[in-house]
Amino acid sequence: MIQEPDARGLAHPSAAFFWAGIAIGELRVLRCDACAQLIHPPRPVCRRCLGEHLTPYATAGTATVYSDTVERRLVHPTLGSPYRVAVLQLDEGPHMVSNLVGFDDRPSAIGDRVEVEFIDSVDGRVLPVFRPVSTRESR
Amino acid sequence: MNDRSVAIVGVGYSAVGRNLGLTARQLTVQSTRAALADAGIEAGQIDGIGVHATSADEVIDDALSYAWMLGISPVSWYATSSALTPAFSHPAIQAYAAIKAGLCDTAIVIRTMLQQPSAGRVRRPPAAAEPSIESEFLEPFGAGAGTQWAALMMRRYMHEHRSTVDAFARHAVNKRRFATMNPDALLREPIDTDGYFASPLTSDPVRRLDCDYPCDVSSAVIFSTAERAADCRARPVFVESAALSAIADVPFELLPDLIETAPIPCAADLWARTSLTPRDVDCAQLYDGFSIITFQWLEALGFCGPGEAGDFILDGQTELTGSLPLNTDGGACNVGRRHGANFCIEAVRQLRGDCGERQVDDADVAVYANAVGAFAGAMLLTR
Repeated sequence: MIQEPDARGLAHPSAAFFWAGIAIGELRVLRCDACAQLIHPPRPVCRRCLGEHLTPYATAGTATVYSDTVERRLVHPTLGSPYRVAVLQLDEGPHMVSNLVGFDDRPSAIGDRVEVEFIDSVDGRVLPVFRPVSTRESR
Repeated sequence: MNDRSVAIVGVGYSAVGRNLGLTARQLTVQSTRAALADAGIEAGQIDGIGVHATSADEVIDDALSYAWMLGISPVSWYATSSALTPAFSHPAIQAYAAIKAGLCDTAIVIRTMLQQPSAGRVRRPPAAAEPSIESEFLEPFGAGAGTQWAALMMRRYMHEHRSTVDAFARHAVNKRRFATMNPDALLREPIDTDGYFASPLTSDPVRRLDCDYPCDVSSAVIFSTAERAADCRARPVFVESAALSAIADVPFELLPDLIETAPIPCAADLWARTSLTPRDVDCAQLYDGFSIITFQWLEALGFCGPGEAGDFILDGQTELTGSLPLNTDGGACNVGRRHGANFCIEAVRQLRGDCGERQVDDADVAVYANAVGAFAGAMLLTR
């Protein structure tokens, strides 16, 4: 079935798999059935092989911080202010934007190992954020 | 010089300021009048028009409606550039190409902006009715602000190149010094590095002084053939080469690499289309919507090596007495957010020798560059 892509390349139903995964404790990306390319953010087709059959794929939920910033001007609806926005490189490859929690106030956590944690957000949905791997292991 | 060499023959601004109370159309008429007067031509002599317009500005309009308003008819070439393009440089480079191809002879390029976001009369665009990458994968995390992708770029840059914020402070101080020499700049009080570090952090390490300064303004630039340029009032400035490059259709935060972005292929194309080299450039006007963008362009264009922009700046090379005076109008953090048009216009004014106190001696070659990340545009200009 060919999905109708919108102007930003995001087929409308394709975000639902992500949040459905979060609801059951899985951090999902898309995987191309034809060439196994992992895709995030979701697209209606695989850019590598133009495959149209993409299937949700559960990642391990572990990542390395690629870059981050402490946001001091805006207020996060759940985490308040300040809060940390990060680009994570998932161990499977794709980059993802999320928040870092459980860090001290040093300026940057680039290179740190992190893993996903599911928190309840004020708007009622579960939000996948990332915290240092060692924190979880030592608890 | 071949038959279809292209020159910039007129430049102009509207009134510029915060909350001027003028509409986008009023500002556009002002900048167009100024550019026509500068060129010494009438609107009827224009047969091409390009505009950059985005819904975020609430300046939802297109090139044809501007042309009609301005009395430009018939139009032989017209184009409207959307948000996913390198701002002013996109219609500017298309106008250059259209003239070179013979689609039109004289084209005006316009960028009109209304101050965002503090102007109360500027309405926000309606919330997206359908899910987008932004609504699903950025906004739930309090992400998506421009200062954040700039901060993510800057933080990654500092990490990869072991550089510090000191060069960013010096860069801001240098630009303000140029602004004190520019009567058109909005912010003209001298600052020192303490002043930079007193500027509030928005998205750490980006400070307010690393950001362009929102204002109401329209900018207009008129391109024509070299042949027609000879009949214009102003001294012509020639387009030596131009390049556009786009690498991805994603929010900048999700680019696969935050350091090697569109300026790199864009600069490679720019130099491949000329016999001139970076050593020939007398001044550089490099987009600074956020400071890190200028750092990326300095390196992409080959004025210094990867990771060396900070040392280049700290060494004084980008000041008026240095080897490459940079953003000599004071940059968008001081002259206001003009979406790159100011850098094109400042390059023209430097090559004409019109810059007074901030004039670069014997300026024969200038480079102007716009945007970063997913898309980029650049132009090499000569006199």
